[in-house]
Amino acid sequence: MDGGTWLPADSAPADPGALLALCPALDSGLRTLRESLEREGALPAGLVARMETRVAWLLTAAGAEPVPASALEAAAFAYADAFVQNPHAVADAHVTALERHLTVPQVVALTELLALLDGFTRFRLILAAEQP
Amino acid sequence: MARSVLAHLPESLGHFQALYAALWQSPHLDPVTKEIARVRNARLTGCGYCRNVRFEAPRAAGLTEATLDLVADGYEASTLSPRHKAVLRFTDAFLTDPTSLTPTDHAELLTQLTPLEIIELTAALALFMGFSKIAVALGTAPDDMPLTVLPTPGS
Repeated sequence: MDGGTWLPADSAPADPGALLALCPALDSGLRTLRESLEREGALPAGLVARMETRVAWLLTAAGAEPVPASALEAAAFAYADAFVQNPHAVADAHVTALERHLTVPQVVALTELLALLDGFTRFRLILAAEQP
Repeated sequence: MARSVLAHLPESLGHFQALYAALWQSPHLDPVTKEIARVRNARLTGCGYCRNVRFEAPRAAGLTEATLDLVADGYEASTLSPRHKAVLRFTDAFLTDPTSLTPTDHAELLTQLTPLEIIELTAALALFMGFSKIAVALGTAPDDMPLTVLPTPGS
């Protein structure tokens, strides 16, 4: 996604991920929500970045498949796969597997962060001039 | 929407509500178009709650249930406006394969919406889809419920 956006140049920054800055209240609100979820959720270090990588791979199939490096990542990736591809496929077993490693508020935080990662990865992809 | 689950993180729930209010009060994209995109997302994502909620502002601006009935498969042959059909095609691409649009699709969409409208629509879809999926995944969305009209967020 390095090729800019297909939106007209006079209204668009080079990075499609930066387009939301043209709607400042939304850009600010999204940053505040994400920071709050990461702070209040207190998820294990590095997990959100790994989820971001997994979601991007699910939506583009570009590059090598991210491989889980721990039992927590395996549970989180399985959950992310169902959430992104078909949320009706999320089963009690997915949540039970997560709850072996995370508290209920942490599972909620992970779910909300997944929603943002899924939605705003699609935002960047659909507004990008070139696809990965 | 999934309020009891999201209440596990009260500070973040407040920030989500503020963001959702900012979206509905943002001036670039009219509320009727936002509602049409939201209802299309609700149908494709299969969120019973989202499918049966309506906001007051789009109704006050003239959006009827008869028009929303057209936001279904087969909308291309409907009497919806070219602008709203373009919004639905973009919504479908966002939800199914956001890498699928061609330069021809981009040019066609730009005949119907301004760049700022497109950015706001895309952000709206990100939030509509994401939080519909939360309701579905965590089992907080009823399969069906009566049509319920709510105040527009931020009003």
